[in-house]
Amino acid sequence: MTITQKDAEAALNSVEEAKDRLNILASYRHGAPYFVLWGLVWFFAYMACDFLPDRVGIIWALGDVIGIGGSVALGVLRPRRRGRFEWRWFAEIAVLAVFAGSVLSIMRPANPEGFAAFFSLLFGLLYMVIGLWFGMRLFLAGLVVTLAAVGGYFLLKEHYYAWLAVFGGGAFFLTGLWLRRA
Amino acid sequence: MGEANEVIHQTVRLQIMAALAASSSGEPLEFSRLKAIAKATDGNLGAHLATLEKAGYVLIEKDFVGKKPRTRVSSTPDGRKAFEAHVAYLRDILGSQ
Repeated sequence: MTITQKDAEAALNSVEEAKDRLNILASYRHGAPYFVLWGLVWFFAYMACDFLPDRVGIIWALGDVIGIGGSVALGVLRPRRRGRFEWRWFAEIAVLAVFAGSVLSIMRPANPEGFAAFFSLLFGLLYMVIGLWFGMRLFLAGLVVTLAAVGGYFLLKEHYYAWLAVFGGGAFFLTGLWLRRA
Repeated sequence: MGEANEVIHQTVRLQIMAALAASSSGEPLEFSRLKAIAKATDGNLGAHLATLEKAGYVLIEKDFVGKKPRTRVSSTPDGRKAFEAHVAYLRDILGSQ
């Protein structure tokens, strides 16, 4: 059997491709329960906001406590992935929080739906950017949330929270189930 | 320089062995996962796995999770050794450019 330099290069590339695909699938499975959790938080929190629009602040404070608490619990209870602790994920959350605070304090949305649209667009953008590097399924989740945020704002503003509950929360929840099957 | 491993060098089999070698602490991989990694059909993947099993490079375990059948594949020590030797051989070819 004769293997040329070109064959050897192609074979080593296919080895790297296989490793990359394995890593993407492992990331999908690892991220799946977080998407399911946050999909449910989005669904119930935004649905509650639709019924109690003057309690949006307290509803989302509660939703965030459940979501963050649940995420921490998932992180503690589930087996750790191989690899070192990645502090940059926490730094990115801090960067996003500073960005969101800065934009909202300067731009000041004209109505409460504008706040909801902003955060939906922010997370949609985040998952599209992450997805371009780490897996198309994340990109598609971000795209659906972004389209839902824009579409609902112009098409069904009077029930925008319910729209985000169904399409935003639903997109995250279904993405979680899809990632789990990877 | 070593020599080429004809069993492993075929692209799908090479990708199967690469994925099994990269799997955390030799953990078995499910058939469906290997199918996605090697971008192969059920029949194609099954045939390549049978070749690797016959060579003693992989171990195929079949069981049930509830009522669903599950096929899991792991590499054997011989398989890991053969894969590493073949990759080293490929690198040697490139190194001799």
